[in-house]
Amino acid sequence: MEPTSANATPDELRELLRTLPEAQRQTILMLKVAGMSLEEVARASGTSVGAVKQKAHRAYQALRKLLGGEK
Amino acid sequence: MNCEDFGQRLSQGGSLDEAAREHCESCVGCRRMMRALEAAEASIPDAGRLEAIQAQLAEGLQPVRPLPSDGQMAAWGLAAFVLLAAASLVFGYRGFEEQSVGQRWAYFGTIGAAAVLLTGSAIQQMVPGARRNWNPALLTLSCVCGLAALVYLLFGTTNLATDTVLGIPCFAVGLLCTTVGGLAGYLLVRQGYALSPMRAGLVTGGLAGLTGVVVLAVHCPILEAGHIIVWHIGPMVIGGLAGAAAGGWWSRSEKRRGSRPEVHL
Repeated sequence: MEPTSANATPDELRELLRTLPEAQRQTILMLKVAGMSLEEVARASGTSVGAVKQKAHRAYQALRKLLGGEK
Repeated sequence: MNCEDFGQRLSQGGSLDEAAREHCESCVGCRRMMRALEAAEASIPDAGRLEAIQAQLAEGLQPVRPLPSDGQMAAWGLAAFVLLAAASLVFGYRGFEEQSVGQRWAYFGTIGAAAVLLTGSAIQQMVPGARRNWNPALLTLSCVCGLAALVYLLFGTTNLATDTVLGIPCFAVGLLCTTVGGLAGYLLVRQGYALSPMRAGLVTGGLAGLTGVVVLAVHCPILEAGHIIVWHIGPMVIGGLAGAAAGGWWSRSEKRRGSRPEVHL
């Protein structure tokens, strides 16, 4: 799904996030929407901080591809 | 810095450094992503509204006792299992005497392993948010099938499965142990909060049935696979199914009263 404008709105972001795997979506929602720290996200999801960082990195890669433009 | 490096830096958390900010300004994709994420952060309700939501949620909350640690609960569960099994010694231990040393190690060792796995799964079911390593239905089924396969290998068969004269007394003992074990399991599991009472009932009922298996393994001198699978392990299957049915009934009655939300696992 492509955003309708150069800046994706929260609703558009939510639609984009729905295309991500569950674990990556939950990580982004907790980190960026709920404003939790890496340690809080790790505790809530029962994983390590390293695993959270990895999921976040993959989610950002996927979001960037969906929003267009990568170098 | 490229997009990959920017994504790595972003995933580390904290504020962005100079290089990351410069990349964000020069890269369309990363800039769009950052603006989308910032817009999402800005859409969070303000502190006053969040407090109002929190106060609404807190109205219906009631205090609960904190759960003991997983290790403590597992110890209680296994202790109850061992006590029930040991209580069967009052009826004699001819079954144990009839088995060879190797058969005892294999059979009781497998029963013990199944007890540990089912107890662990029951503990996980009663703690919301606990990591669930195994599907309880698959685990219970695996324990039943594993025991049946082991019994077949250890004792062989002479088709005593259909001999009801020999089988029904064992079946009755197995059901009695399953019932007593099921009640004990219920008292343990209700200390927590099972998000899926059906799954909790399934694994607890299977564990209760396993107490019957070990009691009969000690007491019953008939070492024949057909007899053991049908009349000893059969009650374990019934225990699991009855536990699942009881859990399903409990869940539906709580939903009707409005005291249990819908949970999709």
